[in-house]
Amino acid sequence: MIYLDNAATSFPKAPGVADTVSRFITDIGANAGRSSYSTARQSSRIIYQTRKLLAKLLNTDNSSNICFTMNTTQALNIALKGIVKPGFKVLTSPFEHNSVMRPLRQLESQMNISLDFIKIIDYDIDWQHLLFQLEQKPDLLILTAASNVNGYLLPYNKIARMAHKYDIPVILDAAQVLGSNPVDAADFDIICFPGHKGLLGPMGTGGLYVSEEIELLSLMPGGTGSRSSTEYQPDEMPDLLEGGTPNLPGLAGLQVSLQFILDTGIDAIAARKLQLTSQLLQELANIDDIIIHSPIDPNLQAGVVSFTSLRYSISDLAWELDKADIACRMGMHCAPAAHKQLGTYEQGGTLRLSPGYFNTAAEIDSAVKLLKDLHK
Amino acid sequence: MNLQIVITFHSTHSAMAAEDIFKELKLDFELIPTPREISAECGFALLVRGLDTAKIKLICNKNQIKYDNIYLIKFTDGGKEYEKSN
Repeated sequence: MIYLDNAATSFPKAPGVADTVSRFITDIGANAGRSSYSTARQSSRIIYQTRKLLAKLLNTDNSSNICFTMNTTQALNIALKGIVKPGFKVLTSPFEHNSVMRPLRQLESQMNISLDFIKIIDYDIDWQHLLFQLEQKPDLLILTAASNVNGYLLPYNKIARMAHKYDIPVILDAAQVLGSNPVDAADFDIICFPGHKGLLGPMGTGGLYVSEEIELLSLMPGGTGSRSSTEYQPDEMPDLLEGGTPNLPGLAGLQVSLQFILDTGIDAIAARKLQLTSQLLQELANIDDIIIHSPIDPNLQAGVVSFTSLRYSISDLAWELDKADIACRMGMHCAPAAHKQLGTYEQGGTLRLSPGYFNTAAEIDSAVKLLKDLHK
Repeated sequence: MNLQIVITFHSTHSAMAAEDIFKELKLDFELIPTPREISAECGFALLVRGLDTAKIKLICNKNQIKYDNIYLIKFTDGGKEYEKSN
């Protein structure tokens, strides 16, 4: 198979991940943080070391403020529902995934919060209008770093810096960038991320970094192995947000993939992804009747290509790719807001190809050849 | 000298962080089940041999190790007591 659906989840995983997950289940298998026997100690160390590697990636010494979740959606829900209060004014972007929009819409109806959207026209932020919006003192800014629909890389650092000038806390949805683009903990109040996308780890892993200044409520209080004599959730991080047994096999795998990423370097990973993405964009641009819905400028790209065809429906195109054993995703990509912004909502979305670090130029050529042949 | 100190922690993360530092400093220590006589808070604690409480505190503070309490083990006839450090 030619796998071009890395925006959904990366495949294959980093070398050693699968073996490590398997070995954890067969050879270790103990819960972490509860006991002191040898395999329990190993489990506790796996979690600790994984947190430390994430802290290195996020350029912070504060690894205790990184909490594990099963995915970005859970992290975003913990962040939003732990911080938002009734009547909050929330500023966000028009490119958000439903992992942001659905919790926001829920909070809109349950807590009467109001939403405002940053104006973006043709991948240009309306900075003047953003200043005006920030002057209205929203209570929170939540922002995706890059669109999962078309790879548009938002100027998330610059926007966060502007928001901080107005003392507005910033939550970053780093789902599409962590592992290939720099994300510095010092620039954000909360960073939510998956372990299974750019970090090349197993599904069922993710997390959030929470700065010292932010106090979150625990959404899922439960057993932590610490402060066991009390029926109340500990208020120390990371235990505050980590009730229950974690996905230890997954975290063992994530430890290996994080080490791979740190050893390889995010610049090298980004360069490979961008090279393949540029190749794909250039080739698709030469096919008559294919309309590209992604930024062409590599500086605005996180490695996701969306397109439609004037000759075929996206479902027929996806079917052809399926038959050729090329993995893609078509439709709304769980991001109706982004499709509305791109003008592709009414037609049912786009077809998306998202290269990963392990793809090759030859694989991109094969996908392009199929699309070229179909459009002859 | 047969000094033995037990350090308890609020969280596993803090205990692991302490373990990391103690390893680096080549201290004589091990992870043990937290003695029930002193705490029921966390499943395990660190036992350190050969250093007194003042030195342990210094190391913890210098390395920003967040601990709960420090206890000196006092061996008595047929048993032991845990003296909490202030």
